[in-house]
Amino acid sequence: MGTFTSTDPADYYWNSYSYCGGDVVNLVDPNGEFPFVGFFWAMALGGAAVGGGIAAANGGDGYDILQGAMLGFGAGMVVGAAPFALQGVFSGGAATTGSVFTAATSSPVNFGRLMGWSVDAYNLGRQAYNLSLDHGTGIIGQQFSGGAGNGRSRFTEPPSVRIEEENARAILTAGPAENAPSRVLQQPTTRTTNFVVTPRGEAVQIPNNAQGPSPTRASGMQYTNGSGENNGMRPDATGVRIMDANRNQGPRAIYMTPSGAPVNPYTGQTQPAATHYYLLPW
Amino acid sequence: MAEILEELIGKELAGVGFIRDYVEIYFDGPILRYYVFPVLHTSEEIINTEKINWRDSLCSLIGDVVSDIVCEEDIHVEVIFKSGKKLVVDMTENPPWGEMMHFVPYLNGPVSIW
Repeated sequence: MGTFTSTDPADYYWNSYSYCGGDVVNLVDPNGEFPFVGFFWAMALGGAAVGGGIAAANGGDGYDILQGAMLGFGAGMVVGAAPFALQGVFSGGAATTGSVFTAATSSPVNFGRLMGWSVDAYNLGRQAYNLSLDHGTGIIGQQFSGGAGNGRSRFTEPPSVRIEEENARAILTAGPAENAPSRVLQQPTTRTTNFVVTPRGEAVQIPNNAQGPSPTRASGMQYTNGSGENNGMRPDATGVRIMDANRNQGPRAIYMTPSGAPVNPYTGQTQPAATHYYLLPW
Repeated sequence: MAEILEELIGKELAGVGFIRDYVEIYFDGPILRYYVFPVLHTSEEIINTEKINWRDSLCSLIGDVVSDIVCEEDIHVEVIFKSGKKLVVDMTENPPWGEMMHFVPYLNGPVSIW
């Protein structure tokens, strides 16, 4: 996978040497400054050409050709958006089905805060938001505001993202804080998280169909009520909790049985309290 | 903390599990997982892990019903039973793995961790 030899001047991603944030399948970045949804645009423009061509071939006037091109453009957008609706953009693969807005969760927790929700939203046709919260901080249930920290993103309007505790919805609000239009970026009924990525890039696999993230009371988050089946893990590894460092242990991921007991997800062995924290350190 | 554990009030202790280096107490649904071994207080004595009858004393709670929860955040947690016995955890201990206690409300439910 390609990388920049120097930092990306736009600096959209936590790894500013990465090309398109590592998503070379869905994004292109011809000038190194902004990643475009290449397939999407290709399909949209192709649809416009086809639509306009059909109108012209049928003897339509200029208005008909324009109308055909617009319809084709719209149809191409739908086709182009399909892969994003199906597989999402970026880690975690959370997309809003049927919407051009996509969102995903990436890295989980750090020092008592939910950190690194990476929310990418493309408002096609007018302007593009790339809302990166890699350095935003907050806890589940609180509101992120001001978009990306450290001047990472370009916004023509100040956005904010609210992370709701229940079902982990992310809501993008664009424009002035009051009376701002909001869009739900993640539909809880259409997605489960496949994995989360730590700030250092390690992926923590989430058991299939596990629900979350939900709080743990101690600083961290958890996914529960899933199944490790088909993930190479044992079916009784039904959950995982990803914990911040406490006074004696660093950040850690711990797989759990239905009773919440620590378990080795690959062998099914119960784990002693004194050692199980080392399953997935980072 | 108390508001979470008060869900146990009125529930009968159904079982005790000794798993590797921790203890679980079962209440026909909810589970208390002790990563710091609890001490049993009776009217006659205080039974900690240094007493030879510690495990038997925990099992003697089977069938007993929780009557009250007394918590002082980060200090101690007491599960009080109708018999007058109480399970006490000293939350000021500092185990090397950092966690003291879990509460699981039901199977596959979200775990509360202290």
